[in-house]
Amino acid sequence: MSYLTGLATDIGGLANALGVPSNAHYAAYSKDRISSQALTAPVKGQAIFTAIYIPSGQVVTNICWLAGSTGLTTSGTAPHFWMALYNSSVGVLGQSTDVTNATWSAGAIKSSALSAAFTTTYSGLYYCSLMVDSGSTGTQPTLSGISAISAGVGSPTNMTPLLCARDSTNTGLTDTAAPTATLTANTNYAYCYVN
Amino acid sequence: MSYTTFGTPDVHQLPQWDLPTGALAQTFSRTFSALTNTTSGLATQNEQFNSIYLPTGLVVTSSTLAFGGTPATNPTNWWYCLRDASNTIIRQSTDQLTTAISANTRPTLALDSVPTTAGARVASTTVTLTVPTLKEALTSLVAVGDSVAVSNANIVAYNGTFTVTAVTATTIAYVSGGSATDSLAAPFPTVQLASGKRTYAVVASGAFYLDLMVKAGTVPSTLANTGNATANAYAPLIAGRDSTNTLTGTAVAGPTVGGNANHAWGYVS
Repeated sequence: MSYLTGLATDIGGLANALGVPSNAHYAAYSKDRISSQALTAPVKGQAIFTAIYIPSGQVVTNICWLAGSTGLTTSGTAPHFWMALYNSSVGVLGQSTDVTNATWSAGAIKSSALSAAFTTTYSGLYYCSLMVDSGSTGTQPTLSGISAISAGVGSPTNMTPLLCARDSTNTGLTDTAAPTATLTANTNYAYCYVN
Repeated sequence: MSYTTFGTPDVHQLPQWDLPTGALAQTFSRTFSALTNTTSGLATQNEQFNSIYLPTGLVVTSSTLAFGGTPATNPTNWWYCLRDASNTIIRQSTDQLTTAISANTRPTLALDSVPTTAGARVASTTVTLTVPTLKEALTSLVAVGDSVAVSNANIVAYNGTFTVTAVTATTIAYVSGGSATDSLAAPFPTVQLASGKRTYAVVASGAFYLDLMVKAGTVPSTLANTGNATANAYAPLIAGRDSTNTLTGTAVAGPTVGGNANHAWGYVS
């Protein structure tokens, strides 16, 4: 039992035939736990973060997120869209190129390549980050993942290190990820993976 | 790439990537975040068993369980207990008596004590407490000359910090403040072990149980993974409950544990 429990515990963080998309190396958690396509849309100019297990020596080329039932529509002034990889101290390791006319359909996986592939230096917790600003009159996408984490402040995901979070300090982000983020717990646990 | 990390050497290392700060092992991954806020896995005066994998050499000092949105109403006894896969007692916390269990909290209690099942003085100042079968021999946990703290005996003179005068396989003796002939009734006290003997170092990797007992007007909710009913058809249980013994201040040996669909999230530190 314990052995199996140990394995089951790991499936969320490790690539395996059943728990992650076929092109994923490591996912935040097993995809069968995705329970919602209506996670609250990210706030424009604020990055969101999902913790993910990645072993040492893994080359991370792309970060991927799964849209919810509402896709991204850019419109108006100053849209921005990028993804980033952070370490467990929430320091940035790599970022994708900012896109000002990004498209992302409802229910679709969006993959963005880091400007330079990053090879991890330790096994453990990293953060995938996503920043979406659809523009002054655009529509923010909803995301897929686990919603309404029970019991709010009592939830284990709200213990440090946070598993699902947003950076509420660095607001007004545009084309560049914050070198260091200050995380605040999120109640929505968005799904993502790397390859 | 990834599959090599499933190998035996890493099995007990991998679950730790998402441990909360300070935790050493958890009942299951925090990524199982769609937990149910439920009172159904817990009944007043029944010990709830939550399996947890502990690797060899891990030193357990305390434990923590996550309570949900329903607080306990009028608790009179509650405690944590660490047991092995055979349900044998390893350590217990001190009974927390009427201390509140508030909603959405994660109390941490030291697993530094052992329970008792009886106690008496016979025309003497010497108290003899009876200790149930433990995973470790009582004589390896308590020695003559140890300073131990006895808590929550319902005869006041039995409580306090004392120097152990004798130890057998099942009893601990010490000199209390006065001479009398009397005996304890439940709830029985716990005995905090001497400094240096309170922690438990895991001897062999495997399954253990991180347990909770609450006696209250209304039991609190815990944050649990509720999908274990089918898995619990197979021993050892992932989650269980002793619905045979009606408990108060202390854990008992040889509980009859049935399956419990609710596996509460918690950790040891």
